[in-house]
Amino acid sequence: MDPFGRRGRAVTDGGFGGVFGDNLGRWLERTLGVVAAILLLCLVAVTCIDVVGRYFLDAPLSGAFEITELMLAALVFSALPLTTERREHVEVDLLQMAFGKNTNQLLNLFAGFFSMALLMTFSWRLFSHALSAAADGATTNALAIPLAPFGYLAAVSCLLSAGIAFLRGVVDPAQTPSDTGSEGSHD
Amino acid sequence: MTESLVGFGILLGLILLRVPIAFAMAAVGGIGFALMRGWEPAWAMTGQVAFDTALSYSLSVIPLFIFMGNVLALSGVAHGLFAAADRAFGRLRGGLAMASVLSCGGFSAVCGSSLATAATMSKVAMPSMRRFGYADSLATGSIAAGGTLGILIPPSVILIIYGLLTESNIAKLFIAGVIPGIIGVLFYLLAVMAAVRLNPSLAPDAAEPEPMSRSDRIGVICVIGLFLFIMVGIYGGFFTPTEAAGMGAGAALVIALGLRTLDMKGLFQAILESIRATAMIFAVIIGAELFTNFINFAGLPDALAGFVTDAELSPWMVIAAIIAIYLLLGCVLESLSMILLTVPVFYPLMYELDFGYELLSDPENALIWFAIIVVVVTEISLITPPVGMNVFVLKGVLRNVPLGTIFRGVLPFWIADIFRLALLIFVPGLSLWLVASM
Repeated sequence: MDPFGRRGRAVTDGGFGGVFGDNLGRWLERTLGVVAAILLLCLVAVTCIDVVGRYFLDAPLSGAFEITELMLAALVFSALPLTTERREHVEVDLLQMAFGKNTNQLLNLFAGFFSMALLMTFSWRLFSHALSAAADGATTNALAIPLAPFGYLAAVSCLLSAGIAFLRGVVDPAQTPSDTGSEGSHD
Repeated sequence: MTESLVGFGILLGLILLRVPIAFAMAAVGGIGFALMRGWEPAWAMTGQVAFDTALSYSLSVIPLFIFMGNVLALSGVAHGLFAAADRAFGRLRGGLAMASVLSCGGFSAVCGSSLATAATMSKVAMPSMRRFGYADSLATGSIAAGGTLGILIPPSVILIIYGLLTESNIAKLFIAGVIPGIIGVLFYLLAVMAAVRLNPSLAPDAAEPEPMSRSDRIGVICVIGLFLFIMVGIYGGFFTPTEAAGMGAGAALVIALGLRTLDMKGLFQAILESIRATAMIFAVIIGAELFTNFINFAGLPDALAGFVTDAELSPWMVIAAIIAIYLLLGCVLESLSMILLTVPVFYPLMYELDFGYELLSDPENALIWFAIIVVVVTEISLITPPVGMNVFVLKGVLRNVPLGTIFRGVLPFWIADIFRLALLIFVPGLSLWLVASM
């Protein structure tokens, strides 16, 4: 099941087609993917422990609210490069049919370059946000966890995603035919 | 006002050039804001919004509800739902298509996403319908349409996002979706009946339903149990809607592990899918927030509200105009971006309009009713050409069925949706009775 992957690649095919191999996708899944997976399971665990503790043991998890927030931020930013690599940001390809192969490649290059520029801007802004958070010594209210490291993580994630978005603009996996899957191959 | 319209124009242009919607909204919003207020505040806003959105407690429901749906999709409970619905309708002509609709509705009750519902049910229901010789159009149409119920029947990721945008009560939004969701199922069942009555070749003569296996029965019990667990938890005051997502995901994990249908590899894949969808949604939310800041600063919502008050338009005309805009936008935009872009513009109007209905006189109720209308219009956009996302989900699972066939199959359900929309607009009580009785 791949609700947002409309480009129709098989689940196991993780990378930039043949040119960059599956390596980048696999590598991301084994590093950031594992980190995000652990964070997601911890997110589930924190809520369950908090609620069960509150009702049955009369001992809610202190700071569950803040832990959830911080883990959510870490999860979102560790997942961003994976989403970008799999080309799962929502795009509308209304005009794809209308254009020829060359125009589509040009558009793809434009979208990749645009995404890179935007993600680099975000990386820069998040980095400076984190710097000022570090300078102010900003922390969470209850548990006094410093916020700056999460800002740095976000900045690095956006920078990595920027590079991936650019690569994706150069090599478009969608150019490989997607309508050739045989009947029932996904059953 | 003019600035907002120029902004919208550039945004649509970028989207048509296939720039990811999230990045297009962020760029237009950020630059627009900078041009109106200066670069310094715009830069500060960019970093702040991106960071604060990712750190938002109430948005933690997004990965958790998505994860819950993905785990349940792998757990095999969907097959049980389909088998049970087949027992109910199997003896009628078109019974399997009706069973698809009903089991989509059932899966929606534990899944907050229309795309995930359609993807899951297509894997369960499609093989049966093909084996019994159903026309591809009816088979795919019933699943694509039935899947749209995912965002209406609680839990619903879209209703949560609407609630955050308008500061509406999420528990009330969830309960408001129940009756319209049931009406949706009933209307889709009627659509199947009408379609096979008009064209009997769409479905074979009815066959004896297959018996339910033990695991099918357990699956049905798990789905009903999980739905009740979430609803009783929220409305009994045991946990908040936000916590319900974590509890639901935990319960779904217990179910899938208990049924022994989920191995470590499957679990990792479900997690990867959930986190990638999460990052995608957060990117769209951050982009939309920047864009909304810009159009709010440019005064579009105020100008619109002022215009509506000054022109003394009938509230029903305003609603009709808004729905027309949604139906048009739905042809070009993806559902989540559409909601994020339009709801901030339109919802202040709900405070201005006087519908002359007792139930709608409280703006809080009017907002909840409007949420249901918006979600139903969004459901329609999910099956409207050319970018109906649910149709593409079906296309992704069944590569050799032409898009045209699926869109043709969706037509009876699309017509049923228009009737449902009209009913929900003219009888606000359908959305609000349960809310009022809370």
